Amino acid sequence: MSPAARRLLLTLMAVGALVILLGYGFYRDPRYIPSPLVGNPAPDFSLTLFDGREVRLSELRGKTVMLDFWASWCLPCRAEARDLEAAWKRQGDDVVFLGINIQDKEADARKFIEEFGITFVNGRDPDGKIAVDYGVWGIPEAFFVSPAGRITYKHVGAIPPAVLAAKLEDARRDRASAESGRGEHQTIR
Amino acid sequence: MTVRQKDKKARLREPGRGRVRGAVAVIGALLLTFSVHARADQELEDRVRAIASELRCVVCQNLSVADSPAEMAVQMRGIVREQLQAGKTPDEVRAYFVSKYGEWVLLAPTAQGFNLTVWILPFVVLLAGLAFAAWFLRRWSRRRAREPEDHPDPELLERVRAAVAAGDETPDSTERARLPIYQDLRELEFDHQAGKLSDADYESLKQRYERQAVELLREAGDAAAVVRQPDAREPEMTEPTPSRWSKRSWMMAAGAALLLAGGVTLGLLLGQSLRPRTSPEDSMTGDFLTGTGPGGIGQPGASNPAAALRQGQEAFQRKDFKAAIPAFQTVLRHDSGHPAANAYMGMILAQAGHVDAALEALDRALARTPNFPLALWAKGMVLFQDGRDPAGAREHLERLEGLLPEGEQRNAVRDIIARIGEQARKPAGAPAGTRIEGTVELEPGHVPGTGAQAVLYIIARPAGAQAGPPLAVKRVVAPAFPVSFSLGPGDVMMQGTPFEGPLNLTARLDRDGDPLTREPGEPAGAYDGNPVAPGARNVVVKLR
Repeated sequence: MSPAARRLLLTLMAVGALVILLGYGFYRDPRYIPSPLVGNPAPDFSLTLFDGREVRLSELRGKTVMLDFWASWCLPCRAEARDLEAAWKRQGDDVVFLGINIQDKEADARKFIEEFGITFVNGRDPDGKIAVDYGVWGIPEAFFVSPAGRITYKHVGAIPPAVLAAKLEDARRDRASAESGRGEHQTIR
Repeated sequence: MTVRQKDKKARLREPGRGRVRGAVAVIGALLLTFSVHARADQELEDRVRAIASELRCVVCQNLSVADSPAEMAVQMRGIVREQLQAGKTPDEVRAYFVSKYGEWVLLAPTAQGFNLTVWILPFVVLLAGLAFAAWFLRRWSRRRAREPEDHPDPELLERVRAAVAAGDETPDSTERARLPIYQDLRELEFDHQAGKLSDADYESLKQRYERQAVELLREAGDAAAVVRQPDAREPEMTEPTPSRWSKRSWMMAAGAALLLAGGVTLGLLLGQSLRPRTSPEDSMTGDFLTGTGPGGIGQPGASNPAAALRQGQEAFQRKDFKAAIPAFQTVLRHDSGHPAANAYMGMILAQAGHVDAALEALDRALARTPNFPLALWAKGMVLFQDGRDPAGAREHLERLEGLLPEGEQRNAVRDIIARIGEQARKPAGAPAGTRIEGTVELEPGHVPGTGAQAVLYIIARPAGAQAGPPLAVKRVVAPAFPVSFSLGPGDVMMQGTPFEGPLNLTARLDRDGDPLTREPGEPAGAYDGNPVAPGARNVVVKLR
């Protein structure tokens, strides 16, 4: 190989490496946080519901649980609220939807529930402990918990009804998804 | 009568005085107890900050949990604090966050497995860059070394000119090797004569070619035996003359090193001087490099909450509230529920007469740490002195009593609890002889001008003191003259200060309700019978 060709090849290799690095940087979302929780047991917590009752996740063992972290100021949460309620109404007794309101004012949260006529149970996580325990960073964020108490799927952002149905079915069979889902979401504050 | 009996009798004659002294002793002792608590608290805060500064704020871009003002970061700091208080080690706390957010949450990834590349690669790139720079400099200096001298040998120059003039009939075989450059010189001559080149260009190019030719001739003479390459304009690289070019190389290397050092220093300093804004008016830079001082614009105190807390406590103990308030506010901006900062702010607010705000701050302190001694003490005293909730006062002081070991402090708290009990049995209020009662009148001819904002201040200062902080102040919002008043121990500015005479009693009407501004012509007056002692009744203060 002539010196000129060698020089050209070296330059191309260096530039190529930089372009690949740049492309990787543009391709990935620096705010996206891959969750290490999927496939692992769901952290237990106790939640005070808006109606004053207490619910403990471990008490729901044997049922398929969909945990939905939301806030009234989050636009994608508003966008998916009616779909979630509609999906909830289609479920049988073996499925529980549990809404966890974070970083919100209680009055605003109650207004949100009333506005969208939400009938599945909802409670507040005022100090964000449950949210951190589930590694929440963008809302709405949904976790699917199998009857055995294992997280089978996590979805950041509004979840399309078809995906919701499919992932509930996976959770019912304790089948963990390899990847987390993403949709339109809002970073928490 | 024994000395002891006399003593007892004297104490019975002065019941108020003894209790007040007891209260002062409790404040002193509690502040001492508290300074121990504060130290422990500060150590905990330092540990929280150390761990939080290694965690990446999940809702920010490249900010640590320690530096971020986001709600999520505040909650994460709370979790770190809680776990440390529960006895977890820093490694366990970090591991907890990694188990929730993955390695992503660590600002500095662990040096294991694939992560090692992140640690090693920068050094590899740095070394490669330095090696490239060294190679480039060396090559450059060699090339420069081959450039002709400024003053070519006149004899060789003559030979070159003769060869150019002789055209193609160059006799010498070594001269023939220089043909291309002679050809260039001839073409230059031709172009110049044809008017294609300006005189200046012609001269500079001619000089350059001639020097190159002279250099080639000189090299040919120096190494006559060496077989030369046919291309005369790109001869083989020769080692530079060490004495001349090593100096230049050194200069270039020194320049490159200085540039590198400057860049690294600037990068490091700038990186350290950036910080999150704590308010819209605040600066995002804050150190000597950016000229905004250690705390940035509008931040006279330290931006480090632990240091700010220390500053605030020192200022509080000096009674320098002007300095203490911004320091505690700095702490509260980082952690709105900080128990010590809230407790101190509560005490300052209470002394300034903002009872509701004081209670809010103390409640925040107690919400975080329900058995925080200073907050329990302050809330108990505020409720007691305000008189609106003796039961609440009693409850808080009883909780404090339960926390204190047997001793003087505990007895003093008991003493105050007993006083609350006494007052509850005597609904008439403070015992006669400890208050000054009377009326404030507005002289005829004055327009009261009492809007909703107007405030009447009735002020008692120790006799002889013309200025300085008042001993006790009563605020009457939107007063309707004549105003009846009763000034007593509950109105003292500094909690626990005895309300004792002789006192100078004055009053003034503030039309805009802002005690810091004083408009001309605002009615004010003093009691004609000053000084006055507690217990005085029917005191009349006339505003003129």
